Amino acid sequence: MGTNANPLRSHSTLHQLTQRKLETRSQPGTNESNRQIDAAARECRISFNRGLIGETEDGVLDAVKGSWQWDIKTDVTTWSEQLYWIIGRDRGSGVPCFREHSTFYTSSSWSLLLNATIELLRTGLPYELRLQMLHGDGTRRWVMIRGEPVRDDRGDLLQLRGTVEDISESKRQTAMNSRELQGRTGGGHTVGDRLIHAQEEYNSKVASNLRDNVCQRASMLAVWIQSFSSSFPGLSPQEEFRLEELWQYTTELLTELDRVADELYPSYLDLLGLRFAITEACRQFTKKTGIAVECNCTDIRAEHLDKHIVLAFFRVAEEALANIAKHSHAKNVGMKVSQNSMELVLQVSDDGVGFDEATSKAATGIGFLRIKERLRQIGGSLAVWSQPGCGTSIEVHAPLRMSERGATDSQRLRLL
Amino acid sequence: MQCRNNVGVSALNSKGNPVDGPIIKVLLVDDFEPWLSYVRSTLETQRQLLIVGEVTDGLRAIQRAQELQPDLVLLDLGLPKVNGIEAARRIRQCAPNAKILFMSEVQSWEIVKEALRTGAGGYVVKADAGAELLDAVNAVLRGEKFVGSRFAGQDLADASD
Repeated sequence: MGTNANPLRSHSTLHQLTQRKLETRSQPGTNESNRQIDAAARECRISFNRGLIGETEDGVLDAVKGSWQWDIKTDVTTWSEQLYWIIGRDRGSGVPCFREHSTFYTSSSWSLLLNATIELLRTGLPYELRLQMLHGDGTRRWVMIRGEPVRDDRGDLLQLRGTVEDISESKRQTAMNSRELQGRTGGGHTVGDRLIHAQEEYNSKVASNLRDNVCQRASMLAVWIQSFSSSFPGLSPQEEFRLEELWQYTTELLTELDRVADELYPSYLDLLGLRFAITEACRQFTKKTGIAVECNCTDIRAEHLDKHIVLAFFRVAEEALANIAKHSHAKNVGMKVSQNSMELVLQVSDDGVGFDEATSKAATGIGFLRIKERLRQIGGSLAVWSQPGCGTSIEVHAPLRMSERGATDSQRLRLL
Repeated sequence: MQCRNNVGVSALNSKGNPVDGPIIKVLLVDDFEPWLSYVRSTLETQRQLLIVGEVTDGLRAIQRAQELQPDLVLLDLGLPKVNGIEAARRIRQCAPNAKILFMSEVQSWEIVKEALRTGAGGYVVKADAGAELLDAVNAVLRGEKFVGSRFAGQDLADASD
């Protein structure tokens, strides 16, 4: 089993996957995905160098391990029985081809696996990755995946083989220990979670009070002012004019109250759902900053969404836009929201100045911290790709419903 | 003013006065009592309008609309239990002859468009109701689309259901 985490740089035959990647690069309109794949590969290499991948501090508990083999010449893959169980796939359905494996992982995890496999085929470098798997029962699992080459006597590559280990339980234990430690020391994310939750509750309450009480009363006031002249037909033109001014002033006050209430808690999120709210946020962003946003969020089915998830997801989208406005100097932004049977996905990219992931403090700035805290609460994940001069892309994944284990499960995050 | 449900020529309106023409049944939906009171007093000046029900949440609005089959529903947007937009969609199914007029303090044209896309006949901003409520009621009953003067110049084609 290939557990060697030292990056070997020996070159091997160029496999068809590598070829496919090169072919893809030559196609127009795929620069963005290439950039993301390259960034994922960089992240993979960085992880190797830092020794983050393959570290065994978890003390794996109750781990279930399956194995796999991929015959290069025949392109036949075989799985052990345990691997079917880990992935949550019926043994009778057979082993899918490599490309179809993308459906078993979050997109960022799939990028990592794809690049590690390409690297293994090209250089013979074994890999060991911790990835997020989308299990057949709809849950997310953490798995440790290892891969290594098998060669014949002449050194030619015969097959790849490796193992897949479900490490969800040990991740959960580690997260709980970490959470307990943070709680004891009075710092860390527990307090942050509570603060955000308390803030949202307070905002929602104040917004509700503004709309259900203050705005309603101000509307009544406006109506009474407007009805005054018909109730008292003998008013002078000057008195009529003053009444008109008073009504105008009241409606302006109402507009301002409505705006403040929406900033605290957007009414259209409840009224019209996430698709409308994000589209509206993009429209307002363009109006305010002059930065064009191409917003695409047509696949959202509101009936499947948890209210807390929707609010957190919307706040993350708002925060991503705010980050762009503050730091990116971008002229164009692309925002895409999609939904599958298991999660919501937000992809935001800009053509701004970008930053160096290794040295810049941008990824640990307050904007990204807020995004991470929001996602921590709901059990979501964030991936960021950026390079100086090449803009920034982020990808957010959030579950459709809050886990029953709530905050405990929310620790199952892969955050930068 | 047109009417779909002809209740009878000798019917009584909300004030108990006899009405020569057909009665128009109106359901009021708002969770702010002073507003209900204002609308009630305004509509009662119209001899043909009969307020057949008043409810304060979206769920009851759907139930009462199904039971009463009103000709007109005056509907708030921000309602408890089921919001006004969802309530309008469901009222359109369970009381297909009912015309819907939204009344809300919300002033965003984007939201007005979405509200009208439910098939509602009109939208009145509450602050403008002193001048526009009766005009809106009459226009919607005639089968016209009504949006207040503050939305003059906006393209109503965007708001078609």
